[in-house]
Amino acid sequence: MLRSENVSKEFFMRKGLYGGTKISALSNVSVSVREKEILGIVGASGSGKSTLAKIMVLLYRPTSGRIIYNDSDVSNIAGRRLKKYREDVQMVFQDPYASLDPFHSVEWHIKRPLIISRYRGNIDGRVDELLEMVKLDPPVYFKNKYPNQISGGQRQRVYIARVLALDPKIIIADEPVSMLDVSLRIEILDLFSKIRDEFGIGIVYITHDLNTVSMITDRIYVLKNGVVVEEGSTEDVLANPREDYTRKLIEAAPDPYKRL
Amino acid sequence: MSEVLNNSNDESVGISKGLRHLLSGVAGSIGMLLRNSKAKVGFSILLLLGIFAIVGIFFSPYPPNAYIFAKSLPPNRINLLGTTGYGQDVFSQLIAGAAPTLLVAFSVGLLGTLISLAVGILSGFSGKRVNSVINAVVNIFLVVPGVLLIMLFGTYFLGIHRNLGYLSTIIILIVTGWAFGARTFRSITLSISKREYVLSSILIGESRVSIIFRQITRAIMPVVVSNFFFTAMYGTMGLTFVEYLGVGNLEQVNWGTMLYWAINNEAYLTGQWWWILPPSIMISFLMFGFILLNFGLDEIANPSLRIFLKKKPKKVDENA
Repeated sequence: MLRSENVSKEFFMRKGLYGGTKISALSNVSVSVREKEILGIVGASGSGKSTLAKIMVLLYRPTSGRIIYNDSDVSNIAGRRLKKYREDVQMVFQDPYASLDPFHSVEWHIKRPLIISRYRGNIDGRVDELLEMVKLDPPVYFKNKYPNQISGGQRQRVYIARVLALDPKIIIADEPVSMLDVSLRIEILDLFSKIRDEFGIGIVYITHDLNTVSMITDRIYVLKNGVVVEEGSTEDVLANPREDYTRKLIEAAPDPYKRL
Repeated sequence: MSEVLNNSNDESVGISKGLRHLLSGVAGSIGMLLRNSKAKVGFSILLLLGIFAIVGIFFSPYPPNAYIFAKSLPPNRINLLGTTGYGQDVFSQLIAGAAPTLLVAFSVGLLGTLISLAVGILSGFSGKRVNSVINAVVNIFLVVPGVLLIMLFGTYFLGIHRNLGYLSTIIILIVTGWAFGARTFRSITLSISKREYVLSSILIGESRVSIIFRQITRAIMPVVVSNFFFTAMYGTMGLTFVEYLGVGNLEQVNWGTMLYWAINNEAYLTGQWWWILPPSIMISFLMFGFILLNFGLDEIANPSLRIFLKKKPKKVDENA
């Protein structure tokens, strides 16, 4: 449904007037998201996960390679087509404390995408529906709150409701639970799998945490320094990792029964 | 057809809503101001001066420019603050001169801030090329020495036997004074437009206009208010300077021309303190008010500057 073909991304770091160095964040990355699938992208920090996420929603443009959505090349679209594309492919950010505007209420955050995407129907009713969907019950209680009045997990739910308001086909979640404490993580991940099951939305779950990956994803890609080193179904990769790097990642994941 | 109408209706509602957000932002900032003691004092000073100026528009004890008294009288019962070396009443001049001085200060502050806000946000929120072009223009205006430009224009106007009116003074002060604020707004907008909540709005499909009016102006409102006071200070100083140099219209009565005449007649050497002190003190007061408001605002916007008063320890409920 959405796939990247040999995508590379180089950042140019300027030093002085003429000099500078190229930093390669991604090289020849090909990943594909199938319909109604939860895909995991795993890697340590600095491996290019977030760059890949931003390229998928076209906040960054690939230096080379193509992004293909529904069999058409979208790497260079702009204007109306870009807006259309982003209604289908949305992103959930890592930090729910930064991704909601502190000056606007919860209701505003969910209303705006409905107004922008010209939702035909009762907008207020839809807002309530979306809030209930992400288990912010009762909606009346949350609607007029401002982001600083609710907790981190609730903020992330509000953000997910904001994204769902656009009725997307794919949600790219860039470390959506890393800022939340462990008990809340499970709830948000449950929410993601519920979203997939009920609405058939494909989800790309980007993380460094292999514990949570094993809970919800169907397939995973392992990224190392901007290169895909391993891919396959989650069970296979976690049970028989071929790469040393993957093995290290698995070992690094905390295990409550293991003692140092 | 009806759909088209509906859409346009939507947009206009959106814009008026944006304006309302802007206004509520301003109201919110002023409300915050009054909770800070420095800002409160500054605000009261400005309010008093404003009342003084408004009274001065409608009422002054004597015509401010009439030479109807004995020259250089010290303060007495008839002339509250004495008379000038030409026989004018100093208090009448002071009260009549307040309105134009404040008018120049506030209009320079307001228009200068609006221009720098527009330029700053535009450059901070647009592509690299537009950004660097605007940045270059701002830099050029930053290095233009305002005072020299004022003198140049002033002497030119003198040369063609015309005087700088208030309007041309205001225009010159705005032209020389907007660039600093534009730079500030540009850098703040650059930083805010990289925040995730703005990225999120871009992804959701918000238009630039909507993001600017609904989100960015809200976030930078404290800086806007602070910049307004700075530019207003610049306006006061600029007006005083123009009049002090004698390149303005010297028949107009304001605190700057009062200083010009007092100093030209060497009031400070002949001991006519009642002529030179009142306008100086009023100008200082005005500046003081602006500065206090600015400091107060700094404390509000930057919690690390805030001095916390010792609070009584909360009573702990033993039963809880």
